[in-house]
This record gives sequence, C-alpha cells and structure tokens, in this order.
Amino acid sequence: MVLEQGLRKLHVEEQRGPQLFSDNTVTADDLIDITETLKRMRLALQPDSIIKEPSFDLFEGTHSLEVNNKKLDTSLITLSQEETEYDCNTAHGESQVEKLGFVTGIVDQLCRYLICWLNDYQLLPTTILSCRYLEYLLIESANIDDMVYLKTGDLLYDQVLCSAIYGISYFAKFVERLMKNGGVCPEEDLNFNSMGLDFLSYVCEPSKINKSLKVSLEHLSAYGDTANHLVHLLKLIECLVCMEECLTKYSAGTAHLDKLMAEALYLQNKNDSETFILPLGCFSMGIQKRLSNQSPPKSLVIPSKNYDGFIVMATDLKLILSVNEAKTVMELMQFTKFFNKATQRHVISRAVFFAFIIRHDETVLGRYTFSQFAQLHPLEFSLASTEISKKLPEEAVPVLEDITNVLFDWYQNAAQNTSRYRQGYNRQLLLWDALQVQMENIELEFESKMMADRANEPFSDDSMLPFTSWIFAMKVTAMIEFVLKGFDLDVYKPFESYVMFWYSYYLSYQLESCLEKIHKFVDSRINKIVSLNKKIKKLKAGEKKEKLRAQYRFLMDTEMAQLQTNKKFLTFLLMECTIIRSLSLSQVLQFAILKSFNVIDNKSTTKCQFTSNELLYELRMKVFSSIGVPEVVPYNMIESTLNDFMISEPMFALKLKKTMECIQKETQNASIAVDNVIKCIASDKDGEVLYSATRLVKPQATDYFQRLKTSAKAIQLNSKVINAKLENKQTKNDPKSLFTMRLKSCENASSFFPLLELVDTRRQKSKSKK
Amino acid sequence: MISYRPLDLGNLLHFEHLKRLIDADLSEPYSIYVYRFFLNRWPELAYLAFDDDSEKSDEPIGCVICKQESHRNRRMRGYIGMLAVESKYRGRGIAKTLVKKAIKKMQKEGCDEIMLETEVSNNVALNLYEGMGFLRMKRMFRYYLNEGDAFKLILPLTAKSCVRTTFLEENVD
Repeated sequence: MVLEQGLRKLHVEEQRGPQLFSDNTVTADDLIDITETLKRMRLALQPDSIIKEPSFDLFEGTHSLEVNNKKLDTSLITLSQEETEYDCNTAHGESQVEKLGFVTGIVDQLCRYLICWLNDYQLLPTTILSCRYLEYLLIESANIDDMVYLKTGDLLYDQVLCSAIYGISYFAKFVERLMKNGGVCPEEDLNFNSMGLDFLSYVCEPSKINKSLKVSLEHLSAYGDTANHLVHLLKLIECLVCMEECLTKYSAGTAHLDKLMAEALYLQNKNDSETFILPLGCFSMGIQKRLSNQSPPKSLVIPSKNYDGFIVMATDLKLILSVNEAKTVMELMQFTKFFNKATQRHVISRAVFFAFIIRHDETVLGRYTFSQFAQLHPLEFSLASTEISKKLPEEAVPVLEDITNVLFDWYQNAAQNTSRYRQGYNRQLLLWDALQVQMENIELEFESKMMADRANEPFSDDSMLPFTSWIFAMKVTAMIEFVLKGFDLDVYKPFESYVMFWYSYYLSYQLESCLEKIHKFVDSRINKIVSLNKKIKKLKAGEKKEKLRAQYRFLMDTEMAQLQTNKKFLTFLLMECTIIRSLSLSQVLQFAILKSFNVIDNKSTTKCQFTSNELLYELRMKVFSSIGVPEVVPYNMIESTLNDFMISEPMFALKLKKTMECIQKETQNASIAVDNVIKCIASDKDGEVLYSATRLVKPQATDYFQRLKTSAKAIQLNSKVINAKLENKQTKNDPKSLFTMRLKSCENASSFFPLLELVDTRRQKSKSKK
Repeated sequence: MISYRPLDLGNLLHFEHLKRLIDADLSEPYSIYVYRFFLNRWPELAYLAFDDDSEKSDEPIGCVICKQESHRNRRMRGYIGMLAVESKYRGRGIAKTLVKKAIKKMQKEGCDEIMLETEVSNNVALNLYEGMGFLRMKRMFRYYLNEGDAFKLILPLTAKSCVRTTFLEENVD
C-alpha cells in the first residue's frame, strides 16, 4: 500500500538527472528493478503473440500511437529555439507600437483559428491550442481554479491579451459542452482534443470575463485608431462569450449575433490580418509534444482570411433560434424538416438545435410537456376530431412515451451531418415500424369496442386508424428520404438507379394513398360539422334546435379550425408527394428507354464471381427487409416491373414516342405542383387550399422545391438529348459500344434526382489521348 | 512473372517490406500494432505478390491484408484492411488478383460478406472493388485523418449478408 501511494505521486521531472522525483517521497530503495525480468519475458515472447487488453480492437488499433515512429510519435517533433524558450511573462516587442502589433496579431490569429477549428473541422492542437499563451494561462489558472493573468509588466499583455484569451477559451468551453450534449458527432463534426487542459470549468458564468474585456477596451481607448483592429476583435469576442445564453437562459435573442456579424464584416473588409507580425515561437506544435496527446503529429493550420466564417456561424445560429417562434407543432416539424435539408448548417447551430428545443425542464421549447408533444404531432395531422382522441385507451399511454422517444430521435437526426442523416433514417425505420405494429393493435382493439374513425360512416370499410396512419406516413416518408438521400451521397451506381427510383415511386404511391385516406376522413369530419348547420336551419325553433346549435358551436370552436388546417396541410403534403412520385417515375421511364436501347442494364456489369445480382438487390434492400408494410418487392418482381416499362418491337418508334410523352407529362406535373407549393410557401399564411407551415424556413423550403423544379426541367431536357443521341443513324446500331452511363447532379437542381447522363466514350477516349 | 504467396509470419523481411509498401500509400499512418493485429491473428488472410523476374524477387511488390470475425455474433464478416501495389507494377491486375485470392479464402472459411472502407475520392479503388460486385452501403463523413469522406462497401456472399443483424439468429458458438 505504501509503495502504491508513493507511485501515485510519481511524475517525471525532465533534466534533473538522478533526482527523479521532486517530493522525495519515493527513494531508489522503494523501487524494484524489473529490467532483467522484462528482458527475460521479452525473450520468451513468440513473434505471433500480441499483448493487449481484450477490449482493444481494430478501432483502438487504428488510433494507436507508436513510440519512435515519426508519423505517430509527437515527442519526436522538433521545435526551434524560439519555440522552446518562449516566455509568456515577457512583453515581446521593442516599442509600444510593436507590442500592440504583436498582441493584435496574436488575437487576430486566435480568432481566425477559431473559425478554422469550427468551420473547417480542424483540430484544437493545430489551431487555438497551438497558442503558447492559451496553453500557459489554462495550465496556470487550473492550478488555482481561478483566472491567472500574465505578469509582463505591460497591460497590453497582462490585461488585453489575457482577457481575449479567456473570452475565446470560454467560448471553447461552450462548444465542449455542446459536444457533450450529443447533438453532433464527436470527431466527425467537431473535435475537442483538449490535450488534458481544463477549459475554465471553474468559471461558472461569464460576468468576470465580460468585465475583463470591458477593462481591456477601456485601456485600448488610449491608443486611438492604432488599436482599432484589436478593439473590433475584442468586441467580436464579447459576442462569442454571450453565445451560450441560448442554452443557459434558453434565450432566443439575436442582438449579440447581429453584432458579431457586424464586427466580422468589418474585420473581413478591413483585411488587415496579413499586416501583423507574430512573435517568433508564439504559435507552435510544441503543445503536441508537451501535453497529453492522443493524435499523431500534425502541422499547424494556415488560417485564411476567414472572418466571414463568423457570419456563417451567426446566420445559421440565428436561423436555429427562430424556431422559438413556432406557433404549432406543425411549424416546428416543418422547420426541422427544412432547416438542414438542402445545405448542411454550421456545426454550432446543428449542435444547439436539439438542446434548444428539448429542454432541461422536460418541455419542448418551454411550452409543451413531452406527453403533449407526442399527442400534438398526430393531432395536427390525422387525430383531430377522432373518437380515439376523446377516449384515449390506457394501453396507448406507454406507446405515446415510445412515440416521444422516436420523435426525439427524428428531431435530433434532422440536425446531423449529411451522411449521419441518412444513417439515422436507417435506424428510425425499425422504430417507426415497431410503433406502427403496437399502435395498430391498440387502435383495432379500440375500434372493436368503441366507434371506428371512418370517412363514410357507419358501414364502410375505410377505417382510418389515426395514430397508425400518422406513424405509417412518418415511416414511409423516412423510407423515401433514405432512398433519395443515397443519390445525394453518391451511394448508388447507375445500374442501381432503376431499382432506387422505382422504389421511391412505389413508396410515394403508398404515401399518397395514406394521405388521401386521411384527407378524405378530415374532409368528412368538416362536412359533418357543416351539415349540422344546415340541419339547424331546417329545424324549427325549440329545444332540439338549441341543443344542435350548441353542439355546432362547440365543434366549430374546438375542432373546425384544426380540421381545416390539417386538411390544407395534407393537401400540401399530397402535392409534395406528387412531385417526388412524378420525378421518380420520369427517371424510371428514362432508365427503361436506355435499357431498351441496350446502353444500360439494371444488373451489375461485372462478372459476379463471388455473388449474384439477386444477392446484390437484397443487400441494397436490406434496410427495408424487415418492414411489414410496404413490403419489399421480391427480386423477380422488380425484374418484371422493368420489363413492363421497356420498349420493344413491333412499333418501337411509336412506343418510344409515347414513353417520351409520358416523361414530358410527369415532369410537367411535377413543375406545376412545385409552382403551387412555392406560391403557398411565399404567401406565408393559412391559404384557401394549401398550408405549408414553413413560415420560419421560407427561403430553405423554397430553395428545396425550386431545385426539384430545376430537376424536372433537366430530366425533360436530358430525355430529349438522350433520344437524339440514340436515334442518330451513326450510333443507332451499336449504342452500347459508343456510350456509357453516369449519374450527374446538375447545378441548382436537386441532388436527390441526378440525371442519367449518356456519355460518349469516343469523346472521352480522344480527350484522354490528348 | 508475378507470383502470389500467403504471408510467412516468421519472415521479418517480408513484414518490413509490406509495411513500407502500405505506409507509402496510406492517407493515414498505421502503428505497428495495426499490422500485427491483422497479421498475427489472420496470417492466412494476407497474400503477397512477388516479381520473380526481378533482382529482388524475394521482396513483395504487392499485398493484401484481411481479417474475418463474427459481426455481432450473427454473421461472419471478412474485412479487407489494406491493399497496396508498388507504383511501377500498377495497371497489371496484381491488386485484383490479390483481392480475389483473399476473397476466395474468406469465402472458403465461411464468410457471409466482405466489407471494406475506401476514400470517396479513390476512384481506382472504387472501380476495382465495384468491378467485383461490391456495393456502396453508406457514406461516412470526414472518416479519415485527411478529412476525406469514405464509402463503406460490402460484397454479399450469402443471404445472411442481406438481413439486418437484429433479425438473424445468434450464433451458438
């Protein structure tokens, strides 16, 4: 025990010769020389044995470092004399002007490094942690759990530089907390390799730092215009320090973000960064050599003139905070659907999003309990004015809790990076599918005991199952998103595009049917209420009439508005569905034409020595293989669907013309639907027919649909180009040898619908010869 | 003539050469542990290529390094960890032969699928693997130290590869 206690206190003191331990608690007599034992054991080792922890796997291995390997051992980093001997407690610079230049240069570099770290996904040790002052101040402050200031004797260093560094460190601490919240993926989205440094955990709130920054600004006022750049930098840092308020106070205020953008714009336009000279050794790889490190050596980043990076960050964060204005769950959902869809938002805004809406007080946006949140989603879709909403069975309560969790997953997934986003849907499909089964059983049981929610009461067979229908719509939407996102991420090869577009077409069709059913039900409920009024008018005055009038008023007050909004929203979703279905079908038809000319096949062109086309199809469909409804189409059936679309003799030309006309019609349908949708988004209001609920994400939603319209036009044009190429007399006989296929995303078009482009291999060959 | 041989684990010269071959090409450095992790546990899944006509005919000019393990105790997954061919020998189908030999071996050993990751920008590797039937299953954001995205590729060998692990029976052994 004594020895163990002694060992705990051990640390290596460099350049001290024989006196290894500073506190003299461990002497040479306490130690046992194991050199001989080690040598003996080494000799007994077989070359094929590996000594490792059982949990140490390949993942650990690829992150392992290696002593004496230049690429992996940071202790081998060579530092210049200036770097080694850099003294933070010296006021570098001969004159006051030079000192001001140095301090400005250091703060400028740190601010630009912040953006490299966050916007360009760089590492901490190669950006802000490479600053000798930041390292020194964090180490010294952690020793006494309070902010330590430099002692150079010059306030530019002792006050101004220190306050800037603490401001930046405080902001980094906020980022660290965001990462720990789990809104984004560590390493992929954000790196926080702190090198074992404590990022101001002992500074609980920012007032001390703000005060220090104010003192610095006062001090700089004596320098006049010469300190202008530094003043703006400190003001920018002040804004960064405030940024945590969106989570500490759930503040949706954006004044500090507007100010941040103004400061960043000034600094960007001023373009002074390159005029500052830094003291030699001030930024260095030294920290990688000195402190706890889990990464291989990496050179410092060269920061660009990147103050506009702060503008990107602030703009995206402002967008996120505007979610606070959502008046309904429908608006919240539409916000979530569109804010990160076409453009991946800044990592800070993505990380803030989930923590901002799902709060510590177990509310959503501070206004809905989790249980309300779970019920409002179906209510603002299919549940309004239903029997089950009025007499919720007890068995449904735990399922509602499950719904809350899956919804949380859905909301969190929307803020993920573009690749994780698709993977998130992969996971969610199983969750929605399981929920559907659970809720369907409860609703069927409810129907057998109580009244069913049907569009045409009482005897029709069109039971709507409001919860199940909503879950089904969520699931199929997720399936479509998963399929089409694969095109965006370049996951599919051209030969797979038939299956994937066909599947997207098939799923859109399923979704459309579901939405139509709900729409019909909602319509019937609206008509039912309206018909009450007609009944009242026909009745003579009396008790019966008054009773009916009271019922009518009650329904008008409590259900009508929601039913009408739901109906218009469902119409909007139906239109969106039409767009996806029409574009998918156009692509399917295009593929069929190409296959009919024998320039592409829906099978892998490779000689499948180890696998088969059927296995490849099943692997691609693995994600959906367990989904009950809609079922995955078996391989032979998907083959027959393609045969149905293909064109053959006799009357090849006529059939081709008809297929081309069909593409024309479908793309036109999509374009018309997009125009209506965009008009609805722009109007911003609950319109007469459509309601998009996209008030808070107008530009983002418009951009998404505008791109779909561009895709519709591009598919149409591409179809004509392909036809012209394939019908050409010179190429008609053997098009397969002359053309190859590729999937190509067009500028300003939707990356969900890349074009099936016919590439002339003769041109490619002649280009490569040149 | 190019000849292909399985790895002789006892031959340290071969080990050093293949390490050098791979280090020269990789976007991120591997520690000695990674090499040993593969080679010591699955020496039979590493193949080397030699130029018999060269003066240094005992120095490998290409290699493939693989492993095979149970994936979540549900299916056997082969994994191609590293593949490299010396630059002056490229374009002669050596990589393809090495991969084929490794896949054949893993198939024989009962693998249900073969998996690997490659950089999104590595068209040569993508063409090679996709030419053998591998499918891109997912894209991974900033997967490599050089900040590049990666594709995860899978070649299905049996029907087990095409079923979600949740719905596969657990292997008793």
